[in-house]
Formats: sequence, C-alpha cells, structure tokens
Amino acid sequence: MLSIILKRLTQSVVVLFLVALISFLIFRYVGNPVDNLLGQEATVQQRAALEEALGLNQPIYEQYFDFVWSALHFDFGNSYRGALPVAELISSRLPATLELAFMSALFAIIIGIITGVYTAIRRNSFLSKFILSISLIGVSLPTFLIGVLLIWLFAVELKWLPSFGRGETIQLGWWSTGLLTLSGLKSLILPSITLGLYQLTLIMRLTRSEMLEVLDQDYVRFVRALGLSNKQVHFRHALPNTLIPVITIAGLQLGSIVAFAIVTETVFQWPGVGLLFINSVYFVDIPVMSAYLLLVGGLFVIINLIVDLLYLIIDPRIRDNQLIGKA
Amino acid sequence: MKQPLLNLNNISVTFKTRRQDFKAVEDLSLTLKEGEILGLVGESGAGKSITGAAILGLIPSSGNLSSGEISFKGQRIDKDPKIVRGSKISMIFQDPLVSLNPLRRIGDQLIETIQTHSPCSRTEAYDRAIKSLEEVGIDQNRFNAYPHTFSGGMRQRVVIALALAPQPAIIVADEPTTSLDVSNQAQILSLLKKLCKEKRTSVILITHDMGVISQTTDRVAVLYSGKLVEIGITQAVLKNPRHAYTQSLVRSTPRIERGSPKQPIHQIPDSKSKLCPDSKVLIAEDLTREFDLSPTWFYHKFNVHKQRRVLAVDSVSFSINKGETYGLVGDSGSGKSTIAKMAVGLLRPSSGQITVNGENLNSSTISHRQSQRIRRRIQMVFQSPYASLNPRWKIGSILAEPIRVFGLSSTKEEEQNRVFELLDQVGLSKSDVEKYPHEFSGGQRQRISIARALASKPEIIICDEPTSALDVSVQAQVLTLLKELQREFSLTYLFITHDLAVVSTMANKIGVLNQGRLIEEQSSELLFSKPQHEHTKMLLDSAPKLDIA
Amino acid sequence: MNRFLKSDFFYDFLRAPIAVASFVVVSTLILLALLANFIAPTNPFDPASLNLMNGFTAPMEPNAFTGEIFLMGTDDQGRDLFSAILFGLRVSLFVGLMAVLLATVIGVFLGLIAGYIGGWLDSLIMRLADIQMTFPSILIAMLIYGVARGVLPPELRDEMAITVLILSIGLSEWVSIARTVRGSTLVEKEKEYVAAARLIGLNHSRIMIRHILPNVLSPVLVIATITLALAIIAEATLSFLGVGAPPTKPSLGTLIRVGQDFLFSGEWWILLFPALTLLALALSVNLFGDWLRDTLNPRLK
Repeated sequence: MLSIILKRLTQSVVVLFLVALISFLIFRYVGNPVDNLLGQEATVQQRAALEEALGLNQPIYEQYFDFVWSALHFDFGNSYRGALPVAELISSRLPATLELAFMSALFAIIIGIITGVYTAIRRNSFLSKFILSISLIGVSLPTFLIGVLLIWLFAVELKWLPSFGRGETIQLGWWSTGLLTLSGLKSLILPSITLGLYQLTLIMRLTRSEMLEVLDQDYVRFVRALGLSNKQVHFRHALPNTLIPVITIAGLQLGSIVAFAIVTETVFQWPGVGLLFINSVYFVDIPVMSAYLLLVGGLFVIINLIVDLLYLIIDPRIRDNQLIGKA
Repeated sequence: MKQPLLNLNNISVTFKTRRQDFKAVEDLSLTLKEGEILGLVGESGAGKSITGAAILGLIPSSGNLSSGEISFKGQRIDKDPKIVRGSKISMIFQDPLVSLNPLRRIGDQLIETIQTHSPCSRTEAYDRAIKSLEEVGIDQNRFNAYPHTFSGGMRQRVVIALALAPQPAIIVADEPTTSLDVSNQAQILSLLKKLCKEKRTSVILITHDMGVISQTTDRVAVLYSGKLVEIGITQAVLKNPRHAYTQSLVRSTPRIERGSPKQPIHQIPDSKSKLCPDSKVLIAEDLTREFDLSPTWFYHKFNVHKQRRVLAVDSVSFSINKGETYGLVGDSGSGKSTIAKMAVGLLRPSSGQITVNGENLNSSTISHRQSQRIRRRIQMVFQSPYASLNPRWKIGSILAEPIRVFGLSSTKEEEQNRVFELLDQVGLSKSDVEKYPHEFSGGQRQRISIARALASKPEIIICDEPTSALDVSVQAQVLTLLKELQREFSLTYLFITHDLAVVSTMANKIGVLNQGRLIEEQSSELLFSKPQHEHTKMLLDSAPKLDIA
Repeated sequence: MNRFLKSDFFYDFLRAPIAVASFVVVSTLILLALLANFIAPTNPFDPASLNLMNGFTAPMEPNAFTGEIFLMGTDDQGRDLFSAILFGLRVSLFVGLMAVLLATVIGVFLGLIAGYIGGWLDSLIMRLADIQMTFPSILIAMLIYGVARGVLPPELRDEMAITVLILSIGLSEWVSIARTVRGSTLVEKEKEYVAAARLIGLNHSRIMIRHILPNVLSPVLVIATITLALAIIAEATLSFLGVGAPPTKPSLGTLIRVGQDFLFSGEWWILLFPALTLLALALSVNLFGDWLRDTLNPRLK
C-alpha cells in the first residue's frame, strides 16, 4: 500500500517536472523575450544588458532550475502586455474560474450519475430513450454553441438571466466570491450549465454502460440466482462496482472542466484565468501562457493523484496489490 | 405417482439475431425428482446452459422463453421466477473467478444471502454462515476475506456455500468445474455430490464432459442442437446408448487405456526407429526458462521492486526418436507450452538447450540462412483453431506463405499445386483456397493449421494441445488425421496436452511435467499401468473417466 | 465490391435508418463543400463583389435598398451567408479531415510499434500518451497553436493559420488512436497466427505490416470517425475563440463568432445558419461513428 502511494507520488513529481520543462522551453525559446521587451530596434548593448539581467546567458539547466525555483515562489515574470506580474494577474482571476468549475462539476456529477443509473436499470423505458437521444445531440454540440444558444434563449429572448460577467462579487480576503450575492448566483447558472453539460453526458453514458456491463457479470447473475431483490442487486452489488470507473473518470474530468472553462469564459466574458489564457494565446503573451500551463498542469497532476488514491481506498483488489503490473 | 420436484413442459427458448429468430431450446420436457442428480450433457451450443438459465428466469436479454411452462412442486414459476430464486432453486456458474462480487467480503455476501431468505438476527445469520463455510471446507478465519484472495477451487467452494446457504431444494450447476484444474475438478465434484446427497438437494449438472456425467449423476439427459435426444439412468445410457448422437458421444470420449493387451496403444509400428536409438531428432538438455514478473521495464531495470522471478521450466531433459510421438502432460502452468515455444525458437532458454538434429535454433551466432534451414524442419500446430489463422487472409495465402518464404517452389503454378496438394492431404477441397478462416468450423480450421505446418515438409511437428478446443467427436477425427499423416510422412511429434486420455492414444513415450519439472518419464504402457510418481497417480485418479460397470 | 454489397455490414447499414440518414447528410455536406465554387452565388471573400448596401438583409426578404434576395440573408458587410457557409464548410471539413489523417498516421505508427516491440520504447510512448491524456486535447491544440504563432514571424501567421490548425488538432488527437492500436496489437501479437508467422522466420516489420496491421484497423476506423467529429468541433471552437481560421478564410466557427455579435440587435440569421450547419455536420458524423462502433464492435455497446 505505502509503496504504491510512493510510486504514484514519484510519478506525479516526474510529470510535474516534465510540464515545467515544457513551459520553460516555451517561455525561453518561443517569442524571444528580449525582442518582446525591447522591440526590434534596440542596440546590441541594450540587448546584452537585458540578457545579463534576465540571466539568459547562463547555462540552460541553470536557467531551468531558476525557472522552477521562481515558479515555486509564484514568480512567473511579467506579462508582456501591461507589464503586470503574471502571478498577480492569475491570482486575481483564479477564484472566478474555480467557482465556475466547482458548480459545473457538481451539476455534472449529480445529474450524470442519476440519469446514468436510471437509463441502465430502465433501459427500455421511453424516458431513457429520450434522455439518450438528447445526450447524443449534447455531445455533438460544441460547448461554445451551447453557451451562445443559452444566451439567446435565456438572456436575449426571455431576459431571465444575465448574459455575461460575474454579477456582484464580495471580497473575502484575496478571494472574490460570487456565491454570496443573488446577481452572482444568477450569473453562475448559464455558464455552469454550459460548462457542465458535456461532462454530464459523458458521466451519464459512462455510468450507464458500466452499469449495464456489471449487470451482465456472472456475480450479478449469481446473486440474482440466489434470490436477492432487485433493489439489493442494483444498489448493493451493481452500483459500487459501477462507481469505481465512474469516479475515476469523473475525477479526471475535473481537470478538463478547468481547461474547458477557457471556452465558456470567452462566451460569457467570465473574468477567469481561461479568458486570460486565450488572450495571451492571441497576443502571444508567452509568460502568461507558460504560467497557465504550469498552473493547469499542477492542478491536473494533483487531481490525478487524489483520484488514484481514492481508487486505492475503494477497491480491495488494488489495495492488496493484486492488479498492479497486470492491468 | 409422486409429483416431480421440477417439471419442464415443452419449453422453447428463442433468441433474436440479426437476420432471423433462432431457437436455442426446442420443445424440451424434463422432470427432476427429489434428491436426484440429473446430468444435462451436450456439445457447446446444444442449449444446455440456456435450459439451466431458463429455470431461474435468467435468460440473457436478447432471448426469451417463447413457449412451454416450468413448475416447481406443481406451482408454475416461469411467469415469476423470483419466488423460487435462491430460496427453492439456486445456481452455480462456470467461472468462479467472476461469480463473486469483488468488492464484498465473502462473509457479508453469505450473511446477506441468508438474511434475504430467512429473517433472522445478524448473529444467527453469522453462525449459519460460518457453518456453511465449514461444510465446504473453508476455514472460518477467512470469513472477512475478499474473493480475490482465494484460488479458483476455493472460490468455487465459496460459491457452493452461497448457493446452499438458503437451503434450496434444487441447485442448477452450469459447468461448475470446467475452468478448474483436473485435481480441483474431482474434489469440487465430490464435494457437491456429498453435500447434496446429505441435504437431499436435487442437482441439475450441466456439462459437456461424459466423464463427469458418468461419475456424478444418477440420470442423464442428452441434448443435441436444442432438442432432447435421449434420457435415462446414467449407467444404462452409457452402456447402451440408443440415439446415434449419444453413441458417437460415448464412443469418441477418449478413455485412458491402461495397457490393455487387446488394444495396441499406439498404432505406429515403426520398429525401425526403435531398433536404432541413435536417431534422436529432438533433444532437450537441462532446458530451463525463467520469467521475470517485475511489473515494467522501468522497475525491472532500476530494481525498484524486488524482482519476481518464476521458474517456468526447470532443467528438463528428454529426447525424441525419429518417427515417434513423445507426449508431454501436465496441468496448466506446468511449463509445457514454454517448452514448445523454446523448441521452435519463439523463446530463448535461460540455460540449457534444445536441438533439432544437433542444430540449435536458439544459438546467438546462428545466421538467418541457417535458422531458416532448421525452421523448415520443425513446425507447429497450435491450440486455438480461432487464433491460429490470420482472419484477414484467405486460406490460399495462409498456406502459400511458408512455401514462398522457404523458397520451396519456383513458379506460381507450382506453388498453387502444392497448396491444393496440402488441402487434399488434410481432407479439404481445392475450392477452399478462396475462403476466409471464419467460414470454417473449428475442426476444419485445425486441419488448415495442420496443412500449414506440413507446407514446409517438416520432419518434426510440435502439437500444442491441438484438440483441447474441439468438441469430442471432432477431436477424434483430428487425432486420426494426425496419426495418418505421421505414418505417411514418417513425422516425429512432440505432443503436448493436459488430457491423459488423448495422450494415451497418441504417444509412445510420455513425460509428466509438474511445476516446470519433468517428474516422470515412461513408455505409455508403463505410465498408465504402473505410475511411479505421486503426482502422476493423482492425475490418473482424478481424470474423469467413463465407468461402464 | 460485390462481396461488400452482400456483407453483413452492408445489410446492417441498410437496416439502420439513423446510419443511412447520417451518412447521407455527411456525404451531402462534403459534396456541397467540394462544389462550393460552382454552387455559391457569390464569392464571399472577393471584396469587389460585396455591396455594403446589402448589409443585414434578412433571409428570403428583398433588401430595402437594392431589392436583392438572399437565401440565408447577409451579414453586416452585405456578404451572402449561404455562400459564406459553403466556403466555411469547406475549410472546416478540410481541417477536420487532414487533422484526423495526421492523427491516424501518427497514432497507428506509434501504437503498432509500442505494442509490438514493447520494452522501453513502449514505456516511453505510452508515458508520453498518458501525460498528454491528462490534458484535454483542446488545451493541447491551443498551446500548440500559441507556440506556433510565437515561432512564426507575424507576417506569416495568417497565411500559415490553416496548416497550424491542422498540426495542432492532429497532434492533440493521436493518443486515443495510438492506445487503441497498441491495445489491439498486444492482443493480436499473442495470437497463434503471429507465432506461426515467426515460425517460418518472417522478420518483425513484415509481421507488423502484413499480419498485424490489417487486424487492428477496424477499431481504428471507428475511432477515426469519432475523432473526425471531435476535430471538427475543436476547429470550430478554436476559430470561435479567434485562435483558428483567419478572417480571410473563415470556417463555420469564425462565422458563428461573427454571428454572436449580432444576437442582441436581432439579426439572428447570421448566427443561426452557420450554427445549424455545424450541428448537422458534427451530429451526423457522431451518429455514424456511434453506429460503426456498435456494429463492428458489439461488445462496446
């Protein structure tokens, strides 16, 4: 058990260093920082002075460790646009993104598992078929289009909900929250649905197919043959076995929710890190891009680690080291 | 007459397939008496498992009980089978590895089952659960263990305990021992028989194995493509089968022949080779193979984990004379297939060597040309008729490939003729060259596989369980073909199998493998009449046989 | 061909109305895109053909000034939307197909090698795939896009935009294909027909290409179809976000981006028609892919 945890931890650290390497390489080699800071017309002396100041003439591995070291202290340099520290930019916008991601994940997981289990148990009912057809359209609709259509319906035509921004926010220390005001909550509804819908269909379909597969397993047929009631069969034997892969995937989806927030934030002009990132891609603002990559990479690695450990706690086979190496 | 315990009256089970409906069971009628063990026997696809599932209303969702009725003690149960599930009729499935919920402790599963059927306190249920584990020979301190910590045979015991826990009147056992090793098989069968006789529980035992039927059941019902063709007292049916299918089933079930004087055990009277013992064509010397089970390359290289090494083959030596058949027998995991792979150069030995006419295919200094010369002379027939032929290739191309690779024909026409000749030798027709493997039955595919092995005109053929995936009637035909080909081309066989009955009809000399070691080597006659090693005796005793008293 | 018409596959196809319908929709859209030059009434990207007076004409209503009628109306610049959609469809399909082709070639190659050869090469490729898998492909595509823009001199950025798009989507989607191919290769290579091929001394590359490759392709077909839908959506998303197809070569996503600006002022058609086209394309490719998967691989249902 302990050795597995250690192994996972090592893997995570290795991945983090790789991600850091990539963001370092982007930071260092894409779009020459000297050109970006000084412009094309700088003199040779000016350039040399800046290279010295930025440490660009040091050996590459030293630069890499400097980069990692400052990243660990939340120092990602200054944005090329507006010359603000990147860390400040990101931290001011992070709460908006995290609140949005959290709400949509909650929405996706709860509704996704309920509908998934329902459509698996009542697989031939009209409602199940209806839900499934809708979900297929849901998968084919790009997130941004869902957002635009929701705006059209609920903001333009019905005028029920705001079409952009976070509404009023309240400052709790450095964290600005929209969860405590009515306009903030109203502003969250459309973006959360937009962002969560794709994950919802994914979780639902996965829950359904896992449940169907489990219901077809011999051990489920065996407990049926032993005369257990449908309720016992479905919820005590089938559901726990279904939820293991679902939890894994749903957990891993948390990461993609943060990443997909880029799209939703653009549609709703939501002032989060995603909007910041897409602007940085558009304007080739390299420090922001590389910092965002590090941030999201770190987040993903942590999420993966937590999911893995959760998995260990739930499944006795893995806990006892049975599947390792075979799976 | 007393009312039968279970009555199946003219039942049919229909499956919807892509193009038309298909009747898996047709107008089947059966009765089961109290305390009796009834065997349901037939080949795969005969409808025996479906019949078992139908009794409990557990037919897979693409099928349904289209006509007939099933009653338990005179009460109809086919409309609502839930009233008898578990409490009156219980079931045991084939593969114990997947018939227990991996996330629940076995004790909890037992208590849950007991409490579902008889409302009682948890302590009472606990006591009963402990008792039922004891009955099947599982120590009570394993009560809180998860299924994956048990071996296959132990898990099947747990399954039996679960099935018997609600004290049902009937148990439907669907191939309960097929996925187990021979030694476990015998134990589980006798345990099941003993417990059911004690508790006066009736059993419907579904199997394809006549040996199992003969040793376990009181009566037997024979199914053939969904229909009941014969039913009667087991001994009577075995002794005097009336239906043609039953006759062929009884006849083609291989028996272990203990050197009976009337029948020659091998029909290859190649006296010449026996006279000159120097003509050894395949020699294994101290053959050893280790496997490294460390998880991945990374861990293995950097030694993060303790390396888990397993000796699959441990200093095995034997030799085969020209024109003879050498049988290698053992349970799964005894290393017999690993030896086959080393013989044909698919695996390198960790130490020791195996040579073909004195040449070593696994030598590291061998040139491509030399190794091709050896390969041409030693070919192989594989176990699975499904996996051994490339599904995307036509039969013609499959057979032509070795001819081309070994440069055995100079023109396209010559190659074509050789392919026809090969098909003819294994009893297939010329028109088959244009077909794909999936258009053939298992037995025919095995013939194609044999033809491919013959294509390079080899001297030695390794047969790795060539008939274990086939139904018994087809099995006999393929074995006969192998014998004929041996006589015609004076082939040498290394015949690998877990089935003592099959090897007794094929081999001159037999080696018994156990956990990678060759524990006994005897001529066929001696091995069956006077086995030396304990393990061999155990194998011989536990093999299911046809006892016709 | 005759064999194909008689096959179970074709039989099942004819009996699945959804499969036939989605196939027809996809083929029609592809045909429309291919023939855009001949079908489109105007060339929407030739500034000379635009008349600002025609701006904001509603569909099938005569323009107040010029009296011209447009099937799907016009945008703010007086550009005929129907023509713009045809050309946009062409860009979307081209990028999608090329990206999938790229992803398939990379995926099949790496998956086959990883599965067949195994060892450190397998570990390397699969760890790479694992790491990439943890990030959503759209993010990877954006990063590659951003990096490519950073590397390219500003004057080439628009010109190379389509190539960059194909590269970024293609490189972000190879993982699922490689994993599938590796998985099937691992299964196939243990099968006895591969042992039989080794017995006659065939070399490894020949076994990989002649024996294993044909047997791992049918799942690839399924995944490639599903990936096509993903690639089309990814392209539309990138273009919608303004980091995809350049304004000189707008794709469906770009058109939707433009349309969104006019939602509040009531010119709904500028958004609706490109959106419907994109939905029809993505949905029918998805439906067809789903059907393919269910048919070729019943266990995955």
